[in-house]
Parts: sequence; C-alpha cells; structure tokens
Amino acid sequence: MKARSPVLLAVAVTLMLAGLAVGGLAYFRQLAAGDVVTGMRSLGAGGAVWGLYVVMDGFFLGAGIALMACACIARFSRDREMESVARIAMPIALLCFLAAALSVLADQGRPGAALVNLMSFARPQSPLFATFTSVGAICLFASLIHCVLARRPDLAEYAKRPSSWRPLQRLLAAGYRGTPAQRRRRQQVGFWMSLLMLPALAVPLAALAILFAVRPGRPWPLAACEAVAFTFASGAGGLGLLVVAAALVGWLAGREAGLGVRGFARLGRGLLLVDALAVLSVVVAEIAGLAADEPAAATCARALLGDAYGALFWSELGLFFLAGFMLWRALWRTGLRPRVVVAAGVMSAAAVTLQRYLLLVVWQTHGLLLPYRPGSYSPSWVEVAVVAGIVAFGLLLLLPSVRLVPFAPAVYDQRPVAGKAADLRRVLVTAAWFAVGLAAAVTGFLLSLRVGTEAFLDPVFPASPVVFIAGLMLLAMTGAVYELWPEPTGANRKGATACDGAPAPAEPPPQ
Amino acid sequence: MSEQDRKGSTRREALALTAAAGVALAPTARAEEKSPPAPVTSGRPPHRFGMAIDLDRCLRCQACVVACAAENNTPPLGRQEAKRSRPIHWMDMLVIPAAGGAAALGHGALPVPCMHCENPACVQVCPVGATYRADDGVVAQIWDRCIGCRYCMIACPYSRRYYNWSPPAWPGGDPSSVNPDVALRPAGVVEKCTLCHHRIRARYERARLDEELVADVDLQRLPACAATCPTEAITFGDLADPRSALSALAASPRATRLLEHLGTGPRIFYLQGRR
Repeated sequence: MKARSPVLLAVAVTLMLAGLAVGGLAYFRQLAAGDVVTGMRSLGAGGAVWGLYVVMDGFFLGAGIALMACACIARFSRDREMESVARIAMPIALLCFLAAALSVLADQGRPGAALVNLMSFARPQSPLFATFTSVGAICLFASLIHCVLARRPDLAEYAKRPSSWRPLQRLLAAGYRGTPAQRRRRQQVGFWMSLLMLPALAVPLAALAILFAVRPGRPWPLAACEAVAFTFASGAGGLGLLVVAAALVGWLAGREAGLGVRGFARLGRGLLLVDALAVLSVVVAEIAGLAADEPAAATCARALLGDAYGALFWSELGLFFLAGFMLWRALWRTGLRPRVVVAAGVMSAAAVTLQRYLLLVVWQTHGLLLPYRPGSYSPSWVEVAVVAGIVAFGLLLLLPSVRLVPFAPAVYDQRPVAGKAADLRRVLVTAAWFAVGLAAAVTGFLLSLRVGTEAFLDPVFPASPVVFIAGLMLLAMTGAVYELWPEPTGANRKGATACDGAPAPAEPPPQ
Repeated sequence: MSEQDRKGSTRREALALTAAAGVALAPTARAEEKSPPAPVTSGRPPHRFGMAIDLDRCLRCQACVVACAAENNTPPLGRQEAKRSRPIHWMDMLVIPAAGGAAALGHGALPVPCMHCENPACVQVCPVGATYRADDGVVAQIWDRCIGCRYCMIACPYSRRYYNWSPPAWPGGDPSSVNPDVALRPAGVVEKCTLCHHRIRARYERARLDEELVADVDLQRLPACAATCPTEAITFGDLADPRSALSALAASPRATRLLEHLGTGPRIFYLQGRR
C-alpha cells in the first residue's frame, strides 16, 4: 500500500503535527489562565457559556453516531460496495467519538475533577450522564469491538505479510483460521451487534438532542422541531464526513482501499436525502420559533433572520441547499461522480457545523427569559487552536489505523455459511457473560440513581457510575466472547482457509 | 428504712429508670440512625428560607449588590474583565426596559439574587450532584465537587449562576480583606447566592448554645443584602413559619414571583403596588 504522493503526505503530516502542537499549547494556556482566554462570557451579561467546544462536540458526536449507524445498516446488506462503506465508516466513527470526548473535556472548567467526579458521583437524572457513559461504553468501546471483530479476517490475512504492525495484527486476529464455523459465528455476531448497536446509539443521540434543543421556557413544539433538525443534521454531517473520509482514504491508501464510483453514488443519494430533510426541518423549526407564544423563542427566531446571525443562518441554508442542488443536478444529468459527492459532503459538513453553532449560541445571547441585554459570542484563537489540534490529532490517528487495518479488503466473504449450532459450552459462557454484564449495568445504574440512599447524598457505593460503564462494556463484549471462545479440541483445524496457508475464498476483482 | 436501704433503693430505682429509659429510647435511636442527617440549621426543621423584595421601597442604590460581593468574597473585576462581560454578582440589578420584558414589575432596575426554587432546574441537570437543595430550602453549591461543565447555568431560567472564568485575584494581590467565613472559589467552578447560609448557620448555632429559639425578627435582616438595605426593602425569613413576616408578605396581593409559569417555585417574592 503506497501513498499517492509521499511529498504531499509529508506536508500533510507536518501540518497535522503543527496543528497538534499549537492546539496543545493553547490548551495548556487555557488550563493555566482559566477559561478567561476563551471567547465565552457570563450568561445575562451578554455572552454564551457554551461555545465552540460544545458545538464541535455536537458535530463530532452526531456525525460519529450517524457513521456508526450507517456502518451497522451497511453490514446488513451483502453488497460489496456497502461492505466498503462500513469498512471506512467504522474507524472514522471511532475517531469522531474520540474527537467529541476531547472537545467536551476541553470545555470543562476542571477536567481532572471532571474525570474523577463523574466516575464517582455521576447522576442519571442529568442528560450528561447518558452522554458520557454512552460515549465511553457504547460509542467508543462497543464500536471498537464491532470494528475489530468485523476486520479479523483481513487482519489474519495481513498478519501473514511482512510489516512492523504484524505482531499487533497477529494478536488481534489470534485464533482466526477461517473455518466455516468461525465464518458462521462471525456473520452471526456481526448481524446481532449491528442490530443491537442501532438502538444503543439512539441513547446518546437523544441525550445530545435534549442538550441542544431543550431549554427552560422553550415551547415543546419548537424544542421537538429543533431536536428533529438536530437529528437529521447529524445524518448529513455523518454522511458528509464519510464521503470526505472515503476520498481521503482513496488518496492515502490507494483506490482499491477507498470507495468505487458506485459507492460514492450511493452515498451521494443518501446525502441528498438527509440534506433535504435537514433543510426542511431547519426551516420548520424557524417557522415554529417565529410563531411561538414565548417572547424569548420568537426573539431568537428573529435574531436568526436579522443582523446578528442572519449571515450565518442564510449561509447554513445556502450550503445545505447548494449541496442538495449539486447532487440533484448531477443525479439527473451526468450521474453522481465522486468529485461532486465529495464537494457536497464538504458543504454539508460545514452547514451542520453552522447549524450546531446557531442552535447553541443564539439562545444564549438572544433568548434568555429575563430581559437581559442581547450579547454575542465569537470563539477566541485559543478555542479555534484547541479544536484544530483535536482535528489534527484525529487525522494523525488515521495514519496508523490505515497501516494497522488497511481499508482495502484482503478477504471478502459475505456468503451465508451453513453449519450446525454452536457448542453448548460456548453458549453457556456467552449467556453467563451477558448475565454478569447486565447485572453490573443494572446495579451500577440503580446505585448511581441513589437507590438505597437519599437523593442528595452520594451513592452507597462510591464508584457506581464505573460499575454501570463496566457493565455496559461487558455487554458490548458478549459478541466477542461468543466469537472468540476457543473451539473444542480437534475442531479448530477443520475446514481452515484463511490463516493456515489454505486458499482464501474467491475475491471479486477490485473496482 | 435505714439510710443504707434508702441509698440502695435509690440506686435500684435509678438503675431501673435508666434501663427503662434505655429500652424506651432504643427504637428512637435506631430510627434516628436510619433517618436522613439533621439539617444544618437546627431548630424547627424543616425550614423554607426565602426572601421578599419590596420594589416600592427599593432605591436602586445597589448597596445590596456591594454588600453581597463584600460578604461573599466575589472577586472584584478589573476594567478589562468588566468590559469582557464576565462579572460575578450573586445579587445583581436587572435593568428592565421601559417597554416589554418583565413589564409586570415596572421599569427601572430589579435586585435579582438566586431564586432558591422549590424545583430547581440547576439541581436536576448537575451531573455530579455539586448543587443540591438543602433541607432548609437553600439551593447550595459544593465548590469542590463542581467540574465546571456549566450545564446548571444553561438550565437556570433566571441566569443566576456565575462561572469563575479565572482564578480569583484581589487588588494588589492582597486577599486580607476577605471574609474568613466564606470559602474562596477556584477558577473553573460555578458559584451562586447562598442566602448568606453561613450567617443563618451561625445564628442558629448561637441560639442552640444559648438554648433559645431564633425569633423571626432575628432572621429578617440576616443576609448581608437585607442587613445593608437602607430602606429595609429586603425581608428574609422562614416560609415554613406561618407567623413570620415573610409568610405575610408572600401571601400579600402585592407579591409576585419571576417566571412563575415555569413551575420552578421561586422563593424570592417581589412586592409592588398599593399597600
């Protein structure tokens, strides 16, 4: 696997390293001087207390959830293009979740205390509980497990080639020999994990939509419209990032690793649909705001059309509309070429960032319920540098992940594998693992809910949120236990194909 | 009966009485072990402390704002930070425009402390329980537990919470003028009005040591803002005591509360109109 242009790659890596260094320095400055170096201000005194960090958290988390959902749905189909989509979407989703976690950590006034206190005293009554536990346990951990399990055949194949990553590849693919039983189990686990991840991903998305859309005194119809707009925009942001990432992967790792023309065309059609839905929901939310009885909500809606935020609001709608128009025009005239889809993806991602910004900031500067003077918010160089550092860090992580698990498939085998039922010991161990995970999750949740003590006191067990997260992680690992539990002696050599020198299943020609 | 018998009898009686008292008190002691901890302000729990602000008496002189800042060690802002809109005013003056806004409260300025709601939105959203509603109704904040996520500021419909954007600094770097009864808050935590909880606590503690009850008149001017107000426009008290001056003011037809329709149950009453 060779990069298209080593010079360009070196320049890109240097830029990323520089971005990371500047971001790190800016964050240390923020830690030393306090949040006074940001552009945030006190509420009611003409400022916003949630700014660029939370905006980017909303963008990355929403996009990551959309990408992971996209990967899960893609895995249901037995289509090669969709398998390529899933292969690219999963690591990009993981990087998005990591960027979201870093963004929200950068926003905390006391990040060290945040890590310790959230693990010790977190309360499920707060929407932040759902976001931080689900980001840690579901988004990051379960997605990582899902990602690794899905790529084990490829890892096993790549582990046979000379590479500095070989020891890690061998470790991750340990035990995989491509027997019919293993392939069957892998398909079962892939199907069930994809199915169960979808509702699990709805939890952080709902918590995030509440965080962005629900405000004191805001009419419920308006909040609901904005939550819907937030959700559709998450889809647009996720697909936008996906097409950009697919183009980047194609450039970085060769065409066979990226998406084919058909894959881009499919993503383009999906992007056209979610763009249209996002525009529609943003417009409906704006109309609902203008028609709201609550004066603060109406003031916010008017601010979006007026001098204060008009330029950003019309830019958001314009970018969404232009992206959709380009895709629609290409669809009917020349077909969805990758360049058009990538350009539309960039525009959609930019529009979603603006949508998050406006949804979060306008309410704080113009929508307070008491008659405070209107204010403004613009991020300081420190916030911009920290966010740039986070993006650079994510892009830098993309490089080793490309080397570790190359995007180009080494083994492509989606044909259903018939076989006998799993052995009893495997089923029992998996069931026991699931039961322990479920028990830990329920116990941790109830303890965090202050069951057995007064609501305002600490939980009976001081690290109850950790118990809850550990339970969720155990649940997420259930599929891995089922798939990786050693086969009965003598059975593991039967029908081996991928790792023991036997020929791999026939692979369709690359696009 | 000899002297010896009388002593023995007395001793036996005393032992019997002690044993009976022990048996009688045993369930009470067990019950006390199970009950939640006693409120910090001992006396006649549960209290429901609140405040009434008479806008007809208020001169808008901002003495309450200054007294609150001095009492609670809110650091003075330099000109630069004031310009950057990062003030910390536990008691603030909300300027109401002549038209629109909270028109029911007239125009001019309105002293606004934390509303110490019955159903505080800030408490519900705090992820780590750093803010809570104490037994006496005061919505309190544990500085050391706060992680600085600022969700409580977003959730508070009155925007009555303040964030420490920078470490507290004092003119000339000399913090000798600070009130030793109130902790200094570090950078990165949210802070708010406590209804001068340290004063309430001290008053009840003194009453306990003197074995007396705290009269309503002792409470009325207890917080720094109420003590400083030159026209006695601010009345503090216990809403749980139906005979308190605050209860009478709260029940008056002149009383109104900010954003009452939200259901937060603010315990700061504004008085305005004919007496």
